[in-house]
Amino acid sequence: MNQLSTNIGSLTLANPIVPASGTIGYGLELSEWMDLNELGAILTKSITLLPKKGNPQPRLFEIELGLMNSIGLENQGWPQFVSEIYPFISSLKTLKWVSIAGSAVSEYVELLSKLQDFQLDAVEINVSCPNVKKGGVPFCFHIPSLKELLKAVKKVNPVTKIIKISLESPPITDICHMIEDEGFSAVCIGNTVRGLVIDLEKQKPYFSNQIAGMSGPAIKPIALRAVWEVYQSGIKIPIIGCGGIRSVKDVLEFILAGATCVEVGSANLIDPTTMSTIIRDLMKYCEQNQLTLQKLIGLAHRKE
Amino acid sequence: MKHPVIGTVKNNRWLTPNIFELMVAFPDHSMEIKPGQFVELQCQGNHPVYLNRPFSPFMIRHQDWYFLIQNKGKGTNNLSHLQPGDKITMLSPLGKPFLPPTADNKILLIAGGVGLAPIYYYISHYLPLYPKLSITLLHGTSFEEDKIELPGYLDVLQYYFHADQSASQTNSNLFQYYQTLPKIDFDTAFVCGPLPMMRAFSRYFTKENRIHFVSLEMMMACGLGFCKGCSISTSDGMKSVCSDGPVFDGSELDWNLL
Repeated sequence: MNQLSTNIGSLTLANPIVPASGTIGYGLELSEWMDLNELGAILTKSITLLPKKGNPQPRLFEIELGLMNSIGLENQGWPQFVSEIYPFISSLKTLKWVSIAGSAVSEYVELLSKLQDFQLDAVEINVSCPNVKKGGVPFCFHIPSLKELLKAVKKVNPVTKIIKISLESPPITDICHMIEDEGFSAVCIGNTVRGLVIDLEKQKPYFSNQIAGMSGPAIKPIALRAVWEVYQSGIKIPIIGCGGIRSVKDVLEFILAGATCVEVGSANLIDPTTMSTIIRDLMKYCEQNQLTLQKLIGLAHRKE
Repeated sequence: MKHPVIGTVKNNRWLTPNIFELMVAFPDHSMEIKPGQFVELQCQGNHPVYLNRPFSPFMIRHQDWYFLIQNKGKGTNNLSHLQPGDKITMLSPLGKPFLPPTADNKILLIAGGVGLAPIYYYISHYLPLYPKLSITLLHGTSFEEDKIELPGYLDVLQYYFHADQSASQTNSNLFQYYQTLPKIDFDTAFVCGPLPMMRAFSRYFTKENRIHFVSLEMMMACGLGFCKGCSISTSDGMKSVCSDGPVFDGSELDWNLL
C-alpha cells in the first residue's frame, strides 16, 4: 500500500485524484499531456443511450475565478462507447470509471444493464440531469424522483456505483443518507452550481437554456462546506469531493473536511498537466510529513 | 508528451490603435506549429482572467514568436500590458492545420482584420519551402488605420488591401471588393476573419465548386478537445472547433447555423 492510496467500496485507488466527468472528454486528448495511468481512476464524460447534440451556442461564459457552461451533455451515445471509448479506456492500467446520464429512469437502467458486458471498475451516475417526465426538474432536486431512480438502478449491474449529486440538492445531508441507505458505494459532492447571466445588449438571458452550470475556484467554498456537512452528519460511505480544485492545497482541504478522494474539473481546461502536478505534490507532502493520506480523511473534524 | 512552456516577453508594441504585436521568446527550440494551428496563452496581469486565450502565431523567427492581437476584452487587455521580461505560459501546438500546399500550387489567401495572423504565417512558413508557390493575398480591415504592414514577402505576393467600415453581421465588404477584382486563378483558398466575411466567401466558393478552407473562431474554454464548449453542427455531425478544427472545409459547414 502506498501513502496516497484510498478506497471507494471494494476499490483501491493508487491516489485520490480523478478527473471530473466532462472535463477531459474520454481521455484521449489528455493522454497527449499526461500519463493517464498516474490517475487514481479515469472517469469519462457522461454517456447517454442515444446521441445528444447538446445545447446551441453560446455554451460558455467566463466569470471571476471560474466559468459557466451549458454544454447539454453532447455525446455520441452508446455506439461510440462501444466503438471508441471502451477500447481506449480498457487499454489503460488505472481504474476505469464511466459516467452515465439520462432523461428517464429507464434510460439509466438500460445503460447500466448494457454496461454489464464491459469490464469497468465503477459507474458514476449523474443525477443532476433534467427528468423529462417531471417537466425537466433535475432528479436530485426532487426527492421522490431521485428515490425512484436510486431504487431502480441499485439492482442493475453489480459494479461499484457512485451517485453524483448537485451541491444544491435539498437538504444535502438527507440525500446523502438516502444514497447510503439504498446501498450505493459512494457519493460525489458535487456537480456545477446553477447560475444565470443576462446579456445586457439583448436584455435577455445569455444562455438559451437560461440557467447554466458554474464551476471553478469560485464554487470551492460551497463544495467544501457541503463535504464538511455531509461528513459531520455521520455518513459511512466515502465522499468524493468536487468543486474548484486546482492545487494540492485544495485537495488537502477537501480530504481534511472528509473527502476520501476528489475530482478535478475546470482546472484541467486551463492546464492539462494540473492533475499530474497535484499527484506529485501530494506525494511530496505525505513524504515530508511522514503520513498516509488515509489518516487525513476528516481530520479537521477532531474535537481537541 | 506535450507540456506547457513558459516564455519571456521580449517586446510588445501597438501596430495600430486597436492591434498590438506581442513578441515572446520560448526556450524550447524543438516546438513546431503548422500554419492554421493555434496556441493557448495565459498571463497573470493586473486583472487575471480564468481561462487561457487562443491565438494563431503571426510569425516565428528562431525562438521568437510574434502574435497579432486585437484589444477586445479583459484577456487581450492583460496581454497588451505585458512588459519585456514578463512571463507567459503557452500550450502548443493545438488544433488541425491548413492543408499543406504542393510545390507549384496557386493559393488564394483571404484575411479579415487580425485573421491575418495564421494567413501570414502560412506565407512565411510555406514560401521558403516551396518557392514556386503562387500566392494572392487579400486583406481587409474596417479602418484604413488597422492596415498591418507585412514584415516580408510583399515582392513575391499578389497583394490586395481593402478598408471599409460598412460591414455588418450580414454583409462582407471584403467579399464585395473581391468581386470587383480581375478574376483570380487559384487551386485552393484559405480564409480567416470575421464570421460574416467567411460565410460570404464560403457560400460563393461552395457554389462555384472551389476548394476552400476556413479557420473558425469560437469562444473556447480549453482549446484541447476536452469540454465541447466550442462545438458546431456540420454535415458530418457535431465538431469541436478546437480539436476537429479550427480549420474546416468550408463546403462542409452549415453556415445558417453558425
